[in-house]
Amino acid sequence: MLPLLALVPRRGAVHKLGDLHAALFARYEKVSALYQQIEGNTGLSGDQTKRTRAEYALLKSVIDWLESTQDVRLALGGPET
Amino acid sequence: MTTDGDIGSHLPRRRSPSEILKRGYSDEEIAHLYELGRFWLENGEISRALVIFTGVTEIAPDFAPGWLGVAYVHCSNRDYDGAVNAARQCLRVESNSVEAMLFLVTCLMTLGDMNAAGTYLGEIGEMIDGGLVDNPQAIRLYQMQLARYQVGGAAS
Repeated sequence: MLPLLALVPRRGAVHKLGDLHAALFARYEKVSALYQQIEGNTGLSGDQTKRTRAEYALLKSVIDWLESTQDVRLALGGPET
Repeated sequence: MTTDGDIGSHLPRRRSPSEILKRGYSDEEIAHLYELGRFWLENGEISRALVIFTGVTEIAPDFAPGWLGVAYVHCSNRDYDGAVNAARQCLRVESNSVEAMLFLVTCLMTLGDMNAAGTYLGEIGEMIDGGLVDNPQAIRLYQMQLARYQVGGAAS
């Protein structure tokens, strides 16, 4: 699988996500409210629902990761970003 | 004291059509989010990477690298049909993506579709000969797949 990884290009910078934490968190809260509505209406389907679920999972994953890396930095006595 | 010109700065910024397509995310945000998926791929965290790439392709379906990430994850899970679909989505956005064509070649040969694989191999070969491919690893992968195709063609 490793040679195929060369086909997946680099485009951004992971460390820059820290600068976007507040903006991403605000989005997460908004999408989270929509997600709760969708989950409450189990009969819903379609593209909009699929997109909301995927966006919610993406943002939750990024926020969790950002918070865990921040915890590590704080534990090591580094600066809080 | 505000002037008429200042009033506009208090209004929500008008979003461009491409931003609306990306659900309000900037190009920079999409690129950094995508990069986290790539970072997890490098660390072998395939399931976590898939969550990122799936989200990126939903919010920015015209961001071609997101589809390449999805294709890689499917290949790694041996879901070659899924990888073919993702690579085709990438080609829909970037019709000259050598990377997407190489994913197609790799997966189509695994699925036994040597004719389709050969067509893409020919196209990539022409692009390499024309100096349109500057990724040395892609060229090396092309050579590997060409050799695999020739062995497969001789065997069938």
